Amino acid sequence: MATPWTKDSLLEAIKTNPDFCVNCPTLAQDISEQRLNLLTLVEHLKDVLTDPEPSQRAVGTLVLATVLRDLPKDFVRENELKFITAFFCDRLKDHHDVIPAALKGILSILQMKNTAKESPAEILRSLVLNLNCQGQRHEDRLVIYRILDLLVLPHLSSLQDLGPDLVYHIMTAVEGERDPRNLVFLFSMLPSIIKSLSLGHLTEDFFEIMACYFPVDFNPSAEQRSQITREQLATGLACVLTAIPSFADFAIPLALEKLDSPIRLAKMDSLHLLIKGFDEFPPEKVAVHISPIWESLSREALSGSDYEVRESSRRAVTHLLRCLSESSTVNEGKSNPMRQLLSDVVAASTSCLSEIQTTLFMPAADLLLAAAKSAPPACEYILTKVLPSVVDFFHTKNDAADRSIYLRIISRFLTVCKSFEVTPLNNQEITPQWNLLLQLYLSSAEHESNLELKEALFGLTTLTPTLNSSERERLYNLLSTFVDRDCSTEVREQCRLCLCEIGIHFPNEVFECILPEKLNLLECDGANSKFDRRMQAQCWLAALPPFTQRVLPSVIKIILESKHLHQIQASLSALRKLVQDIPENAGPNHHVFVSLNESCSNAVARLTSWWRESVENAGECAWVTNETICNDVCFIISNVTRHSSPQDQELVVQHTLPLLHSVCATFDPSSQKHHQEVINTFEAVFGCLHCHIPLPEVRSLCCLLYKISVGTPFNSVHTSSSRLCASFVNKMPIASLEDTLSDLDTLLQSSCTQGSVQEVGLSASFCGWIVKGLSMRGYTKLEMWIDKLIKYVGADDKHIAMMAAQCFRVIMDDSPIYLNEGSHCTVRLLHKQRVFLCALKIVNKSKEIQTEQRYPYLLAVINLLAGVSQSVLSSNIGEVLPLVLESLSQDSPFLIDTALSTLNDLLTQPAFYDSLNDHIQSIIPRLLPLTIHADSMTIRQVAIRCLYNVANLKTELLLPFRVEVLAQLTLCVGDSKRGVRQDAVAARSQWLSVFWSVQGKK
Amino acid sequence: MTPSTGGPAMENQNPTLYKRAADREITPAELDNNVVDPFDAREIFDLIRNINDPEHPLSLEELNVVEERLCLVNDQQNTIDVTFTPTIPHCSMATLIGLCIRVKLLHALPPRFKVTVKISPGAHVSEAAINKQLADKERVAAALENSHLIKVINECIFAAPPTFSKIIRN
Repeated sequence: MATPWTKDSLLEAIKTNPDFCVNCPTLAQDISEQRLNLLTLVEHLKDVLTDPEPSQRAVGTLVLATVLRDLPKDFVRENELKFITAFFCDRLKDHHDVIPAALKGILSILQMKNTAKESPAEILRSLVLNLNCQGQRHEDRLVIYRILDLLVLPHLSSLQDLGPDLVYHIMTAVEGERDPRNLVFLFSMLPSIIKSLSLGHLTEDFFEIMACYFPVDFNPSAEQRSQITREQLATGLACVLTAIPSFADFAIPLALEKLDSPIRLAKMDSLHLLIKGFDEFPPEKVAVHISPIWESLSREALSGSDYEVRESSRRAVTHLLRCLSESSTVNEGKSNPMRQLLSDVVAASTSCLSEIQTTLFMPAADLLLAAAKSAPPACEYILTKVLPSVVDFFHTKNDAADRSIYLRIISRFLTVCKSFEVTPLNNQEITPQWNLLLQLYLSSAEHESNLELKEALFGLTTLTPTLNSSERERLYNLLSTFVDRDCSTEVREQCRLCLCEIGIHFPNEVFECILPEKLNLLECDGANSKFDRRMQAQCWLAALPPFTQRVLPSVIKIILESKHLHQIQASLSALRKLVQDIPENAGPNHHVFVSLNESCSNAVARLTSWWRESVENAGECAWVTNETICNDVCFIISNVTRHSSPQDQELVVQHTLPLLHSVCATFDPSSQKHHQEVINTFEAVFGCLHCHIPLPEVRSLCCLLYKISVGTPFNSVHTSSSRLCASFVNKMPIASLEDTLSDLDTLLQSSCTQGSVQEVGLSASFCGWIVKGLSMRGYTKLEMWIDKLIKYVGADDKHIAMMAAQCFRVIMDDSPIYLNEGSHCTVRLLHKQRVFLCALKIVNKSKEIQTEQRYPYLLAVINLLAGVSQSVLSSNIGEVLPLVLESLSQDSPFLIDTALSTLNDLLTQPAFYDSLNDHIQSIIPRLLPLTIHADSMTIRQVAIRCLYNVANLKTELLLPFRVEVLAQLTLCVGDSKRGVRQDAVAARSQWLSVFWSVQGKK
Repeated sequence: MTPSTGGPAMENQNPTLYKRAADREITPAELDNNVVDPFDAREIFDLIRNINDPEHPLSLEELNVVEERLCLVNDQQNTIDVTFTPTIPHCSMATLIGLCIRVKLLHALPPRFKVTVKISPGAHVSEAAINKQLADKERVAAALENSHLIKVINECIFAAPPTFSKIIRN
């Protein structure tokens, strides 16, 4: 095969193309595919490699190094590599311009597989003899470190002969490195090297070379910030300083010395170093320093200046004790270091536990807890030595709040005991202490105070699995009393948790004793509140799988068959809480919905039919007019439907669709026949269906819903019917969508020409809901529908224009109950952004309108801004901001309030600071008069908050307004309303502190 | 007395902590724009309760240095008297705490009020001297010219995050 390169062509390429040396296109490929011989290449390069000009030699060396880098790793044979190694090592003696290329060559050689056995020693020797590492540029130093990385560990056996010299060479190379990028590399490379070498008499020197960086003081420049962080360096350094056990003798004193520093950063780094050290160093090495370590840690953990320092110190104590617990001497009696330290911890902390009000109380309790968390023996020690004293302290207190704090602390200890399985079941020796605590909780649970009761129940919940049968009997009786009694919300919540814990550990007893006896609904003797509470407690248990099928059918039965308003209300409320607490992903509680569909024979369909019948017979069924009951029914139906499987949903639809058709077809706006209650319930069923559930005659249903929406005098019926129609439009197949939209369009147009103002206004609002449904599904002709809405905004009648402007808020806000992803609607990514960009033409339209008639347009724009993402808004902020500011000068308080809230949102997002900085001269003068707006205190409050946030903008731009703003805020701190004064104080302090911090920096 | 970490010795290593008062409840009258809310003791207490103690990372309220009952307000006569209680009678920070309270009230109150800040009777060994110092406008003004002092004061009064009122729209 013909040689692709001649000597002249190669030299010409090197001369004319400066990038050639770095990339060497095709050279390596030509060599590996045998089109060019490596030797020939060297011969071609002869002139440049031996050129008297150093820069030319550097170029030649670089070409060779780059070719070697790109060749396959096993391509070059050992004897060839030997020559090349000798050549590159020799180049290290050359001019300093040639050295970088030679280093790259050596790096390439070391990545090869066929390196000769004696090459590593030769490379290391020539590196040490010819180079002063710290005298090189930072990128060359990095290459040297990479060479060392590839040299030492993979070729350790061939470098063993060097003995301590190897360590010394490495130390010489890395000593004094200052570049953070290189340090990051060094900190990641050195631990494994240090671990594999024997440092011998150089241990301390090596440690000192690294210790000079501790604690890391590094403030990255703006461009470095994304690449290297201080934390990255500090973590790396800690790994180096704790790499080998023999560093313990130096690292621990170093950390303790820096822990004494007043600088917070030094404290935190020292604590992290100690924690890392306790994880890495052997216990014997740590035990030597135990006394000074405890002295420093106890001081920081008890009276450290800030929360994080105290928290890290406690963590250090945990790790220290864990380290010591692994010592072989741990079980050898009292003299072992862990026992010694534990007794020190107990001695320092216990005395502080006597008075709750003192500052050291909580830190001492936390310290003991941290010690207990270290290991099972420590936990056992604290349980036996400290908790009896805490119980004694508890008995000296009479105040329920104080006693509850002691109980809480004991409970926290018990949780730790449980996690380590330090219970009488595993360790008989702790039975007396355990019983002491149990008696304490049981007696506290009989106390009247809600605070103490809650903590006692929490403790009993923790102890539940370890209780014997008589203790459990006592607990059941107690719980039964609390369930029937009027307790605080916290106590009831704790009751629930305790009951569930019993249900998990002793399900049979719940079936045999608790459900039929303690929570029996028939034994309520007409006491309404007792029925409520027992029903609630039954539903708590229904959340656990074994009890769901037993409880839920009876609850549904009571709802459907009872004639007592009160019983229906209580059952619905308890059922609502049960289905409400279930997570969205229907994880472990999925059984509740399955049970409602299966064991309760399609509860949704039964509930819907029952409700419809109740509405029909409203005279006999008083609950129909009860708003709470109506809301509960809707909530339960919608939540169960949305969590049901498509098959279950189809069953529900079969039962309820005929009912919906009949209701819609017979709708009469003049009739007072409880439209609200019926439409809301149907929305709960049909608003939560999966997309592919077939709905026959949905087209005619949409038209009927339109008629209800514009015909009703009730707001909630209008919203429900419009939203349900939007939901249908969102989910229906594209084939029927076009026909349905065309029907709706015809209806809307006819209402524009023939309808009353009221009807057109409602049509505009209906149109807004349809736009929302369409935009969410990513409808291609969305812009046409948005144009219709904009047309309504331009209506001559103010009422219609305002209704249309408000629609933009509906479109941009997330719908909380229906018409969202949870209701199985199609929700396309970035659909709000699309609406925003389509509707942005309203900005230009508004400019054509006279200033005094712009009000609806301004409102529409401000509503549009509500849900749009930062990225889209920031590219259009210049266009919309003038309209937001113009809104501030309008007369309407509603518009001003909305515009101010929008402006305040913008002011809290740093992404908009640049744009807002440009408008600061318009913003502040418009805000100042609003801070004393006479008609609305809300406007004054939001305007002042805007001023508070304006202070985050560029200080030099704020300076011209400083006097004026502070004078205005002085007026505001004397406002007639307290809420306004409170905000004004915050804003004034903010403005004062901004300028104070600027002066402070100067 | 044990030395504190990284600073001068603390005078009171383990002070007693007091419970924070619950947030003020908003009454319907406070939401009515047409009703004037007078300045009262609780409002003044709310202004100064979050000032940080110069020595501990705790607020003056938590250390019981300021109390609602010791804030006296006469809205008609434009006077406000605040009395504070140092944690120990020989507290060297008492003047500084008094200055912090004064400066905070200077920032937060309309200029119509005449504010007096005093030590609770018998709560400090140098009570008279400190009261005289705090009442002397010129000495207070001179103290505020001292850049080191104003730095310490600002650190105490700007330590807590700002508290905003609740906005309730009808």
